[in-house]
Amino acid sequence: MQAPTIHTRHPADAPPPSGCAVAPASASAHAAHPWRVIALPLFAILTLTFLAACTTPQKRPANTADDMVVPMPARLDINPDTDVDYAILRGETVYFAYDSSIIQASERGKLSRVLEWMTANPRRPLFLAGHADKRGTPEYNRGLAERRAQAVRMYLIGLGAEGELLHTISYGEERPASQGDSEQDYALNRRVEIGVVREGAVQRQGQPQN
Amino acid sequence: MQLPPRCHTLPDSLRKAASRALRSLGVTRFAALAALTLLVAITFGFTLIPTAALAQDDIPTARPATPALQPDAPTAAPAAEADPGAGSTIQVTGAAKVDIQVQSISGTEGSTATTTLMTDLSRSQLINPTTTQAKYSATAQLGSGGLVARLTDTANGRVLVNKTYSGAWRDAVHQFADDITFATTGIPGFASSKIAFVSNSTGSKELYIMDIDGHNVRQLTSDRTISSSPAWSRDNTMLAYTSYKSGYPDVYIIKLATGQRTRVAYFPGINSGAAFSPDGTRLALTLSKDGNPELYIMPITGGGNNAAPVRLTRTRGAETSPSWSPTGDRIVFCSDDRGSPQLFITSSTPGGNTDRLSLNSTFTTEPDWSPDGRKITYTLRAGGLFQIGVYDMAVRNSVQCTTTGGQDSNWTRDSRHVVYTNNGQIYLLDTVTRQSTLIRGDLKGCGEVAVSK
Repeated sequence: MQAPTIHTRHPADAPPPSGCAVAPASASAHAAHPWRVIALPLFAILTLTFLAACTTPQKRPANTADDMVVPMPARLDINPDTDVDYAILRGETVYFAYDSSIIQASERGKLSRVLEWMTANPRRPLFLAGHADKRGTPEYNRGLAERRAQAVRMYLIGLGAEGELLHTISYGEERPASQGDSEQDYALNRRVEIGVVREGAVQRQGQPQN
Repeated sequence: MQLPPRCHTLPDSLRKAASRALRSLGVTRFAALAALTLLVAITFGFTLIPTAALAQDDIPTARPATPALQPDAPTAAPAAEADPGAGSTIQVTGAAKVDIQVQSISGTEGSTATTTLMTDLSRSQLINPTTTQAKYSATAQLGSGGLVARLTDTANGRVLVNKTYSGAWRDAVHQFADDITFATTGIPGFASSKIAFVSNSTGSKELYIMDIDGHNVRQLTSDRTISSSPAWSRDNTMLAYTSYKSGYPDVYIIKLATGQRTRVAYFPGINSGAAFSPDGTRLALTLSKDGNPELYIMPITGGGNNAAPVRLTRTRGAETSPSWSPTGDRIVFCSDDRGSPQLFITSSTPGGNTDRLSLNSTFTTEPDWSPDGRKITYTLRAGGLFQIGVYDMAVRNSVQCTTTGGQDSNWTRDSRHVVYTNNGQIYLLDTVTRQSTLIRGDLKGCGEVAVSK
């Protein structure tokens, strides 16, 4: 059996190599079995593709991938500071690891319960309020907290929730749940709170003031 | 693209052993060949893939040395002999300061004004103000008509500055200091600059401005909400900032002369981190209206139907904190698309290449491009602390300039000093000597500084 030929050296006066080349894998030896000629590279390509897919680092959960984003609903004509009630679903606040917007396994049950609440209370818009701990800089934390809120939004949509009812708002590091500087305080601050728009608030007249 | 000839052959004995082993397992020659081909292909693939990825990731971000970036910018010439602004580039080192005799300023506030002028000149790190005879002599009278001021070369009597500065005496003195600095060193002074910052000392984050020497603190907002991320227009007449005044994070522009505020970006999601383009017509900012927080460019007049924001980035991470190059063709920003926040440079028009800056930390945020185009300051994390870093575009080298902590650094006009915050206090840092000076001791809860240029 013949091992594939690989160029390991190039003559000094030869043009610069464009890369290492693998010689065709003894195709002539198998000319009598055309399916083998096709099957071998095909098998190799498929296996390589599979391996490449396995080894590509997955830095983000698939549910935040750009092309999977379900369009954001238009802003509601309310003031999120006063017209959203975060007490109702307080127990379902989703917590995150440091510098991460990945929804941990421990938090998924909460989102199933949020979906149950949405099913029991149809047409009630929710606010997903993203927060970060104060480590990091304000603008970065605002972006990170928004991504946390959007990760929760996409997870709920994945469970079957209606995207049009799911609004995000990012408070970055500006509104800590716990004021201290311990690791426990920071863990409590890396969160997405789920708020319910108060009944009747959406019908309120007038734009938020400029 | 050229690749190194980094390939692998299997030793003969190994090949035979493998062949025997496979045969003993009843595997056909074909399958053995396929497996071996695969093995080699995979090894080969792994050698190739990271090489290709690396080659693309680490393309040096600096274009060839930058003098061409800003042809009109004065080059550094701290120059005793050289005619100001006459041209040869000398590296600023902190040595060889220009001696200037500051004569006592006459008038009721004269004594304080004299001290202020001398402090301003010292702070530049380029000038050594003295009360004794020196190469240059600064004289001024403070009266009802303003500050009548003059700078002379004592050797030949040549007058380098001869102006009457109107307005408040502090502003007048600061402007005189900047004119002296520029006339004798060719480097723009920053004594007349102002710092915009946020402070939560009243219980909510409000916007303030003050002179760079800590005087004239002025509160700009009293909204009792979150005000954040101020940025100056290049003509220093406007500030863009983020406010949660409507309940949502929106971008506003405030005109300093009148105090008039306009809400310019209020799309669904976040609207934040706006930075004025050098020509003053556009904002670069972060919006999440299309899902992920991404960078966009929009006119300062706001995004109407005819002027929808143009999207610059498309990633799975969050893009924040854009800062324009002085020529306006490029933007440096922070992205955590690769896991931790890192700095990237892209074109300010869609479709350009994006290059990552190779810096001294894997956690870097809040970049600010220097007015001379040669450096970028940023916040880095090292050993659990945030520190101020400076990246030099020409030599592609980054240094950490603080040891006791710092964040939100922002250049002054001389492209040498930065203003930053640490533990709620505002500091001025000389990036050459790496000395930090507290600007004012009685401020609390300050952050997010921006220096007028």
